[in-house]
Amino acid sequence: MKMRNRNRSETRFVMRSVLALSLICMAALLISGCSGLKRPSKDITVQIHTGTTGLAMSFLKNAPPSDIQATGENQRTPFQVGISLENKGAYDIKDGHLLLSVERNYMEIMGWQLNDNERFTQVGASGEKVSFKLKGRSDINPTGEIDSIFANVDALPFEKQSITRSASIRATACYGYQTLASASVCIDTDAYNLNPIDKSCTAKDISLSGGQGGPISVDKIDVSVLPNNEEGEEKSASPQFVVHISNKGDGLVFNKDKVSDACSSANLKTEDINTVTLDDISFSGYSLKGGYFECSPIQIRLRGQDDKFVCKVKKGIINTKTGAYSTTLEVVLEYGYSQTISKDLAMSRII
Amino acid sequence: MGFSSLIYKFGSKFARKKAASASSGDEPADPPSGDADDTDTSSDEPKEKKPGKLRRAWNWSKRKAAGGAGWVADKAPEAGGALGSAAKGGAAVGGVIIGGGRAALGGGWRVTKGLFTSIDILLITALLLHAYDLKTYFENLQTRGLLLILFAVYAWLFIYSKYEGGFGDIKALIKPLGISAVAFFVPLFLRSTFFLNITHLNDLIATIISLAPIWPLVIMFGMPTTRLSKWLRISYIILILLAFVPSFWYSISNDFNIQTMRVGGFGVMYDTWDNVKKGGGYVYDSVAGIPGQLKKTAEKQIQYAVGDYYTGQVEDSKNQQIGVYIENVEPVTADFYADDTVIVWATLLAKTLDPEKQIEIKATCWGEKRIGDELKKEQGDADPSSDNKEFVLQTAREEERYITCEFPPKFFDMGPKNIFVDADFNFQTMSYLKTYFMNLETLRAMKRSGIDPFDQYKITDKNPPSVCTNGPINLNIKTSEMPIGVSTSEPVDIKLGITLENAWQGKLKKANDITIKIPDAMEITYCDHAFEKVSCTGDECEDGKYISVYKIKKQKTGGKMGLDDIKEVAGYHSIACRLKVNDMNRLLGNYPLISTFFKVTADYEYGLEKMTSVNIKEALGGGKGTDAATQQQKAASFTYRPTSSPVTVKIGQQKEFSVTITNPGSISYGWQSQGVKEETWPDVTSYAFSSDKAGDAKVIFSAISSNGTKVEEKAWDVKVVEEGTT
Repeated sequence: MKMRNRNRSETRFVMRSVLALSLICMAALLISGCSGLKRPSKDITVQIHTGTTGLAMSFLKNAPPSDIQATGENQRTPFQVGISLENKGAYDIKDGHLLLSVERNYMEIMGWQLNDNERFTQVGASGEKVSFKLKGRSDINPTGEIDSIFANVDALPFEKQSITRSASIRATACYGYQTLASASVCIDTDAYNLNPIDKSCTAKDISLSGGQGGPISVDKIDVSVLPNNEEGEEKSASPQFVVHISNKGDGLVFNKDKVSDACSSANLKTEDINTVTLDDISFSGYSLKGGYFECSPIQIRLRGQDDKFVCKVKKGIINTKTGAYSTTLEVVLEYGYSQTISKDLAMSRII
Repeated sequence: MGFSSLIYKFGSKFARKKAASASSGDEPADPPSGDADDTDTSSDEPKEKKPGKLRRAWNWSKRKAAGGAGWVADKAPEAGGALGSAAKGGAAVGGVIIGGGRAALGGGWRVTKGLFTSIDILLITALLLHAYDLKTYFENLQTRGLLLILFAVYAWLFIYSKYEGGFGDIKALIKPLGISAVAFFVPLFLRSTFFLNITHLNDLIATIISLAPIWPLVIMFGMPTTRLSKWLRISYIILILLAFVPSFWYSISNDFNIQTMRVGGFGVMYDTWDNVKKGGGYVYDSVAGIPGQLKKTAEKQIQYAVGDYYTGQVEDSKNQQIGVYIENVEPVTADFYADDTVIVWATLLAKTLDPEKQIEIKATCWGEKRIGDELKKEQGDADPSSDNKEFVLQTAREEERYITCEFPPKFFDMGPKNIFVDADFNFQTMSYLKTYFMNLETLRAMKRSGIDPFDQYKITDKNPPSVCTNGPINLNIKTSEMPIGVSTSEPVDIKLGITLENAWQGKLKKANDITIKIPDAMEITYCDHAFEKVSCTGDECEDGKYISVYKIKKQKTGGKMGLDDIKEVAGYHSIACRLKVNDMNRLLGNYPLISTFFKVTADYEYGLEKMTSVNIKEALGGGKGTDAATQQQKAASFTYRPTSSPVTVKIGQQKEFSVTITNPGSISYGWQSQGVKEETWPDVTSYAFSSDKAGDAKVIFSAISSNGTKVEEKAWDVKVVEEGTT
């Protein structure tokens, strides 16, 4: 009898233990699962649209070498130029151009080592240009794509009486890019506080620092709501946004449609240079593309100081009775961008 | 009594006068004891009212010595740096900058104490200025002039105006400006004699301008003594004594033949007179040459200002001596007797980097000979081993040869004679100018947007100079401001200027060819010389990079100069052309900004000259002509080239070893090589060594007398190395 009771209590103890353990595991799974889903998602969103770099370029170590020594007379000296490209921004480069520039009397580009790399395609027969595509940072790839490409270059024979030369190699990338800036703004339709309702927020200017994952940065948004002068009971207010932008990179900004021209000898007109296009601005379902905004200018010329554009919601869209509410304002800017890296080479021949 | 002691003595008097006037209330009282160097302390000179300005500088420290406290009290506020308990205790601290008058305390030290006085700072600055001059070899006239003016102003503000006239006294500026003017013009004047190509005079001038810097000497010997200036003064005197006195006496004894006791009163006078005449001649030539040199310099500056003189730089030759050089032009002895064969050695070095372009060098030697009243150059024998008086060398690589110049006995009359070794050779110089081009519209758009295209495309050498290969002629090229904008819709006028500039001490005898290469997408539209477009040939085309080139015509065409008009260029010769772009797309290709090159090649003949001097004395025994007996008495002497050992020779390279035997008598001689090359060569005075394998060798010269005894042996260690070994 005693033995039976003892076995029963032991069985009960084991069952309780298993149940408790199962509950603990389930709880742990639930907790970790929830946090695992939520936290990183929030972090990635923050990380993607930060920074002021779009494409980062550099020559690979010792490619090209700093010193090139020609070994014999009338002989070419082959060497490699390796260029690393990394899309550190938050936009995908779909049709970038990479132009390798050598001093033609001293060097000749023999060709690119493409190796079936789908990211690079040679442009034209002359061999100095390739097109490339590189994805930017995203939820899936929070670091952005990185790749490198090599070109075969020959140092040409020296002139007969010459011993030394100094030359340089340059690589220029031209690509279209986009900056997406989002910020929480307060839309206060009762600018003069006529409605006796407590406001959930008040309109104030927003400062943005650290960039939005592209060389063109939205630095500040001045928010204001302008009451419209209308007759009748239904009156509307027009939220107005003054968006301050700047070029935080060291490259050239140009019209988004001139990417190919920027990496060629074609004309770039004054209006093409330092030009950023406002693609869209939106909040709460109202957008420029949807026709709710009046913006000026759409093509923004950067002059180096206090570069801005103004967007205002059209008349009759937002009723003043709406009150004050917080919402997310998104600004999308498009532009072409060009940047160059260079390396000086000392060339000599052994006598 | 030296100059400085005279000045000093005067200074002492002034100090005492100051002391006397101080005792009457104007100036501080005399210290209890006199200056250690002041030997005239007993007498006072109340009648002397004011010392001369020249000497008052010296008296600054004396004033401190005579009454440092008073001086400090009197002058320190002006100087702005005096501190001092000096007024009562006499221990004047302070002074012009830091330091000052220990004088009162010490009873009249002339040496100012402290870390640095303003004189020390002036002296250090003057020495730095001189160091700069030595570094730039007194050549940078504009900078020198500016620095010396600034220095004079500095000296005026901090030294002269304070103690000679009062702060800001403009009259006191005259003296420092005068000294700066002397400091500027003396090296300029002396350097002008460099262009006379008088080698030993050059050495003398270099010595004078290096060791006698005007401003440091003025400060050390003409201003109040500070500790620093005192030590520098002593060091300077010791240096001069050690450096020159022994050689001075040796030189005197040598020149006046003291060692042979052949000097009589008249002899000395004759020699002295000869030297004076010779020196006077040099001075006359120097003075006469100055206007020419100044004119040349001025012309160059004017041409540069108006844009007809183009500058550039010479390619780094990595310590390679490329071209033709005459070095070590030396007589076997400084003094020859009239019945001696005068022998002068010279080393001829030739190096070209183009194996397909042989250099032919014709070396000749000339001696100055007085014919009537005229001093004429008469040719000596530069190749005594052949009938030809010219020494001819052809090379497409690297050669080093020794030239023996012989002038037969009685060739020269008595006295110092100049001997010239000339080398005429053909040479080629190539020059290139990196030029940037871009689309004119884009260039304008960028400029309007405040963007520098060079910065945008990470180009650091925004205005690259032309670079020419090493050689006696510098080829400088200049073009329009870069980047040059080119357009299909509007013509762009591009300037191309070329200057052939004489870089060595010789002259361009004649031009054989001048070729301009520009990108094929461009065309020369105008030149102020007669150029024509021709198809390129061979290497000129650079593997198809060029289809045509521009060459200057031989003769003057349509009033424009041709090759024949470019000759005897001792200065420079400029050519100006205009260009246009025919095909913008071809020029720019795919690039928004492209660098391309303008190239110019000049083939020419150049004449190089080096000089040495010998002294011709009357033959021993007063003989007229060769005295066999005298010759017999002289022992054989040997002079060798190369002078040092070991000698490095590249595989395949010929290296000459040679000996000059003076008074050979009846000796027999020969050469022997051992090691990687084994051979013997009897009865020749020069031996050309070469080896086709690397390793060590020994080259031996030996001479034996008629009775079989060895009278001379000389050995060189030779290292034969691979091509390309440095």
